[in-house]
Amino acid sequence: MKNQKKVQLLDIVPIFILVIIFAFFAIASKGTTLSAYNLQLICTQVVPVIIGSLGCIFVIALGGTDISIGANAAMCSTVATLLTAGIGGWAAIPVTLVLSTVLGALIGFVVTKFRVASFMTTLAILIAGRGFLNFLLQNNNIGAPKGISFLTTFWFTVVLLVVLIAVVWYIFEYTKFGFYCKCIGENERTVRSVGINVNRIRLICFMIAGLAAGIVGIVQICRVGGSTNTLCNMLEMRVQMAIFLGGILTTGGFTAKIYKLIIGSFTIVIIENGLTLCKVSSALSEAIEGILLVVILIITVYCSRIAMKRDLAMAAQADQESVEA
Amino acid sequence: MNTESLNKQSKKKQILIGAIIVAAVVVLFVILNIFAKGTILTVKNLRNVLAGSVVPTIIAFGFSVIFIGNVTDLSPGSIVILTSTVTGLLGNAFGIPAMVIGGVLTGVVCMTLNYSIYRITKIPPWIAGLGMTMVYEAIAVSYATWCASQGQKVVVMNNDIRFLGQQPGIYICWILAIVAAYILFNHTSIGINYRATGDNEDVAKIMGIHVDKAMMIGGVLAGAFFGFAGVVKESYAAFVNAQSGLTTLSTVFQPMAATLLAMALANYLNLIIAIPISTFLITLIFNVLTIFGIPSGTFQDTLLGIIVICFAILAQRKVKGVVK
Amino acid sequence: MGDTLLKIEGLNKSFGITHANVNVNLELDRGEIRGLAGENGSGKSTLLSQIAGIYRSDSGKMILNGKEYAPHSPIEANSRKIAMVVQELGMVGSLPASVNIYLGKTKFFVSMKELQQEADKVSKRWDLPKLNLKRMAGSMNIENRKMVELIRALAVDPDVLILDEVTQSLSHDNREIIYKLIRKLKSENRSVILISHDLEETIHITDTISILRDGELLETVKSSELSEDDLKRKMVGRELNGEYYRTDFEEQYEDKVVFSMRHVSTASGIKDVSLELHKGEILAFCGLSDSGIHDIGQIAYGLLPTTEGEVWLETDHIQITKATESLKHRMAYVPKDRDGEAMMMKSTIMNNFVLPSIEEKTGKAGFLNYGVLRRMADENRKAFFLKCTGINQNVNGLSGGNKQKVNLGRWLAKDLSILIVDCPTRGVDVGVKAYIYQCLREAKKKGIGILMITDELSEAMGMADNIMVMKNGELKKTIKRSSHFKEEEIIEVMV
Repeated sequence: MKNQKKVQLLDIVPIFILVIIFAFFAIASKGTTLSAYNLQLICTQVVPVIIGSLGCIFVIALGGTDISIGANAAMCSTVATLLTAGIGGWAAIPVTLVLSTVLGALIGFVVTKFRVASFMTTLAILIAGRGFLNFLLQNNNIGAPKGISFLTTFWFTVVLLVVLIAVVWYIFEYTKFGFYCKCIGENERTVRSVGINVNRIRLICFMIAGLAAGIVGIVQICRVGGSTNTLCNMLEMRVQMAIFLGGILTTGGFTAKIYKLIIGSFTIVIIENGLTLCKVSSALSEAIEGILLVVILIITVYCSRIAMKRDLAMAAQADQESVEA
Repeated sequence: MNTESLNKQSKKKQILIGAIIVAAVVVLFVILNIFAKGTILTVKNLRNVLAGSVVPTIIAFGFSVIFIGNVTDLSPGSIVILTSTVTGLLGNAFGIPAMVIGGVLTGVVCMTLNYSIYRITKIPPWIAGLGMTMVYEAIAVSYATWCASQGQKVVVMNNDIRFLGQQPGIYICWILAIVAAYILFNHTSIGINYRATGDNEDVAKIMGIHVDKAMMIGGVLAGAFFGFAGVVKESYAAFVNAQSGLTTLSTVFQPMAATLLAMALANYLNLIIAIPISTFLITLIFNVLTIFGIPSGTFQDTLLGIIVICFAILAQRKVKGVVK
Repeated sequence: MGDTLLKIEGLNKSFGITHANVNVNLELDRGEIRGLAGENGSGKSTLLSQIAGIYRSDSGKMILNGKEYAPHSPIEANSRKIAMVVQELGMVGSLPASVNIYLGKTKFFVSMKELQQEADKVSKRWDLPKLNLKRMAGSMNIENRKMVELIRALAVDPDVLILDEVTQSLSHDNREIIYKLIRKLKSENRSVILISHDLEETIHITDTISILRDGELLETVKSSELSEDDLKRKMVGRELNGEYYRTDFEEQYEDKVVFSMRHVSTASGIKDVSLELHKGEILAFCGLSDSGIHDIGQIAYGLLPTTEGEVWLETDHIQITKATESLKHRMAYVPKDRDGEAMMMKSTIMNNFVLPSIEEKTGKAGFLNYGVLRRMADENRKAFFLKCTGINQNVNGLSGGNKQKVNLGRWLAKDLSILIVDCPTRGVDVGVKAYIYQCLREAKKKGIGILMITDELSEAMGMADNIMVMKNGELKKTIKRSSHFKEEEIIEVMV
């Protein structure tokens, strides 16, 4: 029985959900979902979601949230494009990444130093960022940075995605930083009392989320061919849904795993893609996604509660036995 | 007693600080007024600002209810818009009383649904709120698209029933909301039990309060405020555009900022009195920005975001324990 | 006398494995002032909480005024004219004091003025000092808040008033007011049950005293026939059990100082505490729960900042200011709140076990080898005889004793020089208790300096080389280990 791992409900349910949803839309769309063109489309659409989730997973593991990444991505890439217009497209890449990381650090600073809930802070940044983007677009027509169109090529995308997944997988699953992140989500007081600098870890997590937003931003601005009001719109919601659809609890902790995030990303993209293929109106798809989000959360909370009840029953029995012994 | 005199001293200090803040705000607006060539501090402008602050004030009352209950839920934006649509429809068909009842009821149903979801399932309110926002937005948008397919704009309220949104009527609504909120908060068991539960659920339970019931009633109360806000909003603006893609979240940022400011001021003022004042101030700030030619929806939003963070910091200072 | 008001028969209450009350029988007469005496954890507060309707009894029955009495809530108890002032502060800080007094019993419309007048009337009727009841409860000082809670209890017009450590936080003047109040209640033929750590006070103001030990009610005696020393002897009366504890009766450690605190004060109320911990020494801290003993552990580990004074880790010649340093320099801290602070309850044994060792186990390029971690956790699972299905079981599913084994074992698995333990045997069964003492003895043998904070006197006496007794944030006395260690000696300083 050594090292025998019990399969947790939360670890497998998301895979079933993905399979069922994929099968459902394959049938409902009369096979259009399975066409080569559509499969390629799904793969293109899933890229920004996966990259965004890879950044966000650290903050989610802490039990916090970052819903500013869409606005962060759009704003920072646009500002960087404007700033580097005279220098050349290449410069836009580092400038975007630096800007978005700094913005992430700013959020982290407000959350750790002033103890404002991360949801509130990032929501305010979301509104502020979108407003600032509209302000920039008011009088300017901003095209994509020149000379870096390779960012949109298929091969680059594949390489970028693979490298990012590999790096984040390593950091999140196989370093002490990732381990501490998950511990903080489980019980922040424990990590503090052991003597680990929780504030520093939290700050870095928000910086990582910012950095990922920057990567998405620069890729998307090139893909779209310029900045628009809707650049990376709803990215933050897709990322949240991807992560929760993957079976990660909102409280974070050790339920957070990279493979779940990838499964969840595909699930949400397939849902959106399938709804479009089935010619469901945008309003109805929004409603479906909203209900889905709530239902998924109820399922994950329910699964984790079953597990906890089982544990507590075992504990009560163990206590009883120790008294009788 | 010693502590008593100490308290008096600190109270004096508080009043002094308060007076300084008030003076600073007044001076600031006087200076701005000079820059704007006297267009800000005119009776007409201030009256318009006041009228414009009525809807945010009522929404802020609703927000203060949910914040006091330790709930962060930003779906009210979509609820207000949904209510406005319902109000317009009912008003045109059946007149003012029906639309008030229908509007308030819509708000109550939505908020009760939200509260049930996070009280029963224990999902964090902010994420459940996001999910429900999408649902409410979709309902309003579906109706709007249906209208469009019929070749109409969204429902436009007939001018003859817009009494609640016009100049004398809107002030009545304002006063009515303040009085109702004041009584409910400070002089009914509903308000007091809800406040106790939000502050310290364990103690409230020991003191004999049925905490689940108290919370649900709080949800109903918040819903009634949001519903009423929707009614007044429809009457004030005649029509409300349905929005999708979570854009309704930003529509409640102004009242939310006002609520946070009022909560930060709660040491000096009764919360219910502080809310209309802070809402008026914030509406005035954005009025000034508009006068100086900064269009809404762009830079104003940026400022709004920053203001929210600042006020959240002010209101949050005393919280101890783990913040996610 | 002889007119029985409240009769309790065979009351039982347990929390998990601890039997807080065992078959308690009690009779309370009209107009009787009853004191409850007993050590920490002897079940006094639990008994009173059941009478006041805060807890429900597991079994047994109560008869009030000749009628069955089984309150589901404090409100129900109030309606039967039983009211209690609890030990911890139980008020809603953001509501005015007057509202707090009537909270949960208000009519639909609430008039602040009326509430205030009524509360004032109550306080006047019982000769309590006049307070400004308009103020928020949260902005009042502890003393005034206690008074407000008292008014809340008296507003019920109680036949039985229960006071749990009310005088502890009060000044001399207010204590006198309480004594006067108790006499007045008696003169109106109402009864009072009270707990106080001040034994002299207890004897002075009560008619009779019931003595509890380990959840059992031993006997009820007339206060007038009792001296303070008698009472102490009856309360304690527990013999040191040789099997658990050390068998030697001299202090044994090396001369080398490994850890010291120099004139440390904090914002939380610790005043000028100095100590020296030697290699292989067990230094125990004793005191009431609000005496500041639990703060000492946090200060020592760098979790609580000091306003004055310095904390030195002498082995490494560094000053401890942050907990990150302590972790790095072979120190360990086992907090008191095991379920809330020490453990990640919903996570696996392995994750909990390896957490403090992560820094050392990190390999090149920050690589965490889970094989190594698993092996470590599994070896220690065997070493500490954990009763579990495997290291992937969640901590939630363990018994209290096994949880504590994980809590302590994860530190002992490391190479330590200082170990700080706060209430190491709280909520564990006897078997594990003995095992934990054995672990501590072994750690001592290895030369680890142990700072043991405890609210169990017998534990301190059984294990420590030196005992430091604290009261109100100050160090009161240091007692060396000897064969004639006496609980009385410590209790005297503590209370």
